[in-house]
Formats: sequence, structure tokens, C-alpha cells
Amino acid sequence: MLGALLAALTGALLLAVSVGSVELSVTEVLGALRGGGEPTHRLLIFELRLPRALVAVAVGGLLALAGTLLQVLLRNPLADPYVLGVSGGAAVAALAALLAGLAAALVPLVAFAGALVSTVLVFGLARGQGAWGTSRLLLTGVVLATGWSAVVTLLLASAPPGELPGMLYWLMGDLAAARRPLLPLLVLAGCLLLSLPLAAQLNILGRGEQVAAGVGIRVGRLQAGVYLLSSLATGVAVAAGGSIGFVGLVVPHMLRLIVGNDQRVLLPAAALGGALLVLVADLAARTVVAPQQLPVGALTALLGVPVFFVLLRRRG
Amino acid sequence: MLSLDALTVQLPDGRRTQPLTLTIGAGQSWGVLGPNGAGKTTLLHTLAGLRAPAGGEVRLEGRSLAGARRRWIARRLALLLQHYEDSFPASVLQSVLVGRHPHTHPWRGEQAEDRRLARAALARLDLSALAPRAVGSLSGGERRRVAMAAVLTQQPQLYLLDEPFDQLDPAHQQQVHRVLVEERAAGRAICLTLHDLNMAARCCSHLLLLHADGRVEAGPAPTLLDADRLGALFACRLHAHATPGGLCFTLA
Repeated sequence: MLGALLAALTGALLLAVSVGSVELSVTEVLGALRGGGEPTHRLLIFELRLPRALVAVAVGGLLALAGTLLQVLLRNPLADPYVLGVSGGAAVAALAALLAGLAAALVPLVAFAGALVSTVLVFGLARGQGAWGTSRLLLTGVVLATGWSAVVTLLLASAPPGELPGMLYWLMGDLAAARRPLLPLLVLAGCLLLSLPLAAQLNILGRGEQVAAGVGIRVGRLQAGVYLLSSLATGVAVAAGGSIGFVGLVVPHMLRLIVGNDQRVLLPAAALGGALLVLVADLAARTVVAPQQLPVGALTALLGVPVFFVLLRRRG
Repeated sequence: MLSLDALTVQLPDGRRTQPLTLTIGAGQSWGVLGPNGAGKTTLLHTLAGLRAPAGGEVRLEGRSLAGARRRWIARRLALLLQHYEDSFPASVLQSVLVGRHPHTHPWRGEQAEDRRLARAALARLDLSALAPRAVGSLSGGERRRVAMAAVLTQQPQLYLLDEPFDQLDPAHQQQVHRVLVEERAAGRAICLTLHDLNMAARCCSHLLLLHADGRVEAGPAPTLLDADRLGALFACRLHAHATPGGLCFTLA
């Protein structure tokens, strides 16, 4: 299954670099990738299409990974960075940073801080007497997400009118300006490498905190680590691609229906699946009504909803 | 094996139990009896190290639980919870394999030997045919036995069982009872909560009575299995009858 996903992702990457205002054939693309080809083609591929496609891959992988981690952590299939307000916190922080004219390189860091603040707020506020009720956590997250979107509205209202369309697109999830794939890709690789050794413990944590503690897992440490990882993944994804909803919620479910709920397989599968979904969605976003571009966030939902229903019917 | 040194636990309403000092030794079976809300589950979770004592100390093989690593504890002591949640689907075999976690290498995952132990535990509880089934599709009693099989798979020296007979039909109560007898014969110790006084008379070598007001009584079962004493514990009148199968209690 992982192999099939990887093959599909590679195919989609090739497609993403060949399709656009100037159509390139597979031989032209392969020629350019090997270091030959026409200079304009090389410019098109290496300066525009490939970086954008790689950012899509990284953002999709990060969001799906964060969603998978949060769903196990809360033992709730409704958890995802978007629903819990984590990406809202990252979006507010990133928007504020952009408005304040902060250097673009610092925005991912600020977004991570926003995501982390949001996570700490949710889990801090929801922590009642000792145990965290997961419905209480979700409710706190939903309320916080609403709060963040109010702050976003305030920021938008006070923004210079010239920047409004760009900010709105970014909020809906927009990869049109994405040129720097290195950091998101590195963070994706790092988060995957760090979460895979935890997968066996996460399988058990999904059965309850007492079950996990009863078989020797240090639950508090594991949870803290997973919060940190999912905040990092969400923050970097939001900084790179805006707030793209749906990926973190539905991709883990789709893959769970296909590969089962063993986190050792599910975590990498979800990362690949999320990458594939956002890559294809972004490809559609820039081609279906070309030269007009659509926000990729709307497309991920449009593509993902029917796929999810088909899977649910087949397996249900 | 497990010693309680002036242990007190705090109940959800803020009351504390009297200090408890006792030792659960190899081959013994301690039954924790008491009315609803007297702190039986809280006590069991404290003995498992899942919550800190309100006072005193719990020592496992001479080491304080407070300073021990969770994995070290889990290799020696297994806890059957009263409630399990299943948010995500899993098969019966996968659920039972959870018990192998403290024994498996974190990088390698479970091996053929772990699966063999899990299947053996399933067979002991008459669950072999259910191994590939989804836990969500089982009845309450079947789930209870699956949870018990997971605890057996953990191969501890001490079992802490929160209502192991709950939801089981008479035949399967007897089966779990037989398994517990076998485990005791192999030198393992058991501490269990239960509400069935007749079962307590059959399967406990010692009793621990937790009164609603926080008083505690502990000792060998024969001295504590007394209709008046147990009647006072549960605030009801009981009769004891001697039967060929041992003492039998009925409501007066």
C-alpha cells in the first residue's frame, strides 16, 4: 500500500511539473530533470512548478500527519488541527507577522509558536480535575477555533485594502506564491522520523490512558511529545500554505479504511495520502479555470468529500 | 510481593480511607469488598501505581511504586480495568497483544512468540474462535473475557482485577475462577474487587473490607466471612449457610 501511494505521488509530481500554461511532454520534463532541455523549460520547472508542487507535498503530508496524531491522542475521530483551533492559532500568528512586516523566513517560526500556544491553551483550559475528557477537549478546541477566526476577521478589517485579496486567498489555503519547499519538507521528514518510533505506543494510547499506563507506557511524556510534534507540523504547514482545511480530518480516515488503524503503517500512509491529495488539489486549482487560480483549500474539500463517501460505503 | 505501608487513598468526595498495612504474598488471593463508592477501584488503581497514594506507600518487590518506571511495574503487575473504551476498531487478537507491550522491544514490535502467548490466553478463556473478530462486534461478557485474556498475556506476578466476573454468565464465571486458581497454583498473587459474596467465599484466601465511612478491615477470609460483619459492611441483613461448595450467603 505504501508503495502504491509512493508511485501515485511520483506520478502526480511528474504531472504537476508538466501541466500548466505551457504544456510539457514527459520527455521534455525528464530531459530538464536530467539537466538538459530548453532554458525556459528549466526555468518553468525548477523556479515555479517543482517548488510549488513540493510545497504542496510537504503541506499535505504535515497536515495529514498532524491530524492522525491528534486523532489518536484524543481518541476521537473528529480531532484535527483545524477543528481544534491549532491551525487557527498558527494562522493568526502568521497573519499578524505578515502585517507587522516580519521577514518571511521567520513566519514559520511564528506560526509554530501560534500553533503551540493554541495547543497549550486547549489542553490547559480543558484540563479539569485531573483527567481530560476528550469531548471537553474537542469543545474547547472548537470554541477556540471560533475565537481565532474572530481575531482573523479583526486583522483583516484593519489590513491595508490592497493586501486583502492576497490575505483572503492565503486564509483559504493558497500555494500560488509557494516557492520555498526546503523547510516544510525537512520538517515533514523530521516529524515522520520522530513519530514512527512512537507508533506502537500510540496504538495502545488509542485504547485509553489507563490501558496505556497499565502496560508500562509513560503516558504524560508521550502525550507531550505528540502535542509538540502536531503543533510543529501544523505551524509549518500553515505558514507555507495557509489554512488548508479537511486534509488533517479526512485523510487519516481514508487511509484508516484502507490500511487499518496500526499507526506504524497509518502514519506514513497518511503523510503520503495527504501529500497526494494536496498536490492533486493544487494542480486542479491552477488548471481547471486557468489562467484564473482557485484557493487550494476549497479544492481539497471538493476532491476529498466524494472520495471519503465512496470509501465509507465500500467498507461500511 | 506487594506491600502496603500505612496506605491511605482519597475518595472522589474528599474522604480518606483509614491507613492500611498489609502484604499480598505469592499464591494469595485478596478480595476487596465494600459498598458502591467505598473506594475499591481507587484502591486498585493506587496499587497499580496509576494514581499517587493520599498517604503511605506501596512497594512492589521492595521498591516504592512512586520511584519505579512504568515498564518495570507493568512486567510484574497487570491491571484489569472496569471499563474499556474502543474508539477505533481493532480485532480481538490485536487487543490481547496489547498485554505483550511491556515485554516487547520498542523497535521490533511483537514476535511470533508474543502471538503464540496471546493465542494461548484466548484459548484458556474459550475465545479462540473470536480471534479475528472486531472487538466492537462482541457482547459485554465476551469483551470482558478479551480484556482478561490481555491481562493474562501480560504474564505478571500480581494480578489486580477490577470486577473480573462482571457481565459473565455462570459457566464463564466458573472458567475465569478456574484460570485464577491455576495462576495462584503457579505462585502468582491476585487482588480483585467483586460484589458476589459467594464467589468471594470460593476464590479468596484473604479479604479487605472497605467500609463506606473509610474504616478498613483486612485478614484471612475465613475469619472475615461472617454474616454479621458483611451485613454491617453492606448495611443489610445476611444469612450464611454451610453448603458442600462452601459458605453461601443470602439476603435475610
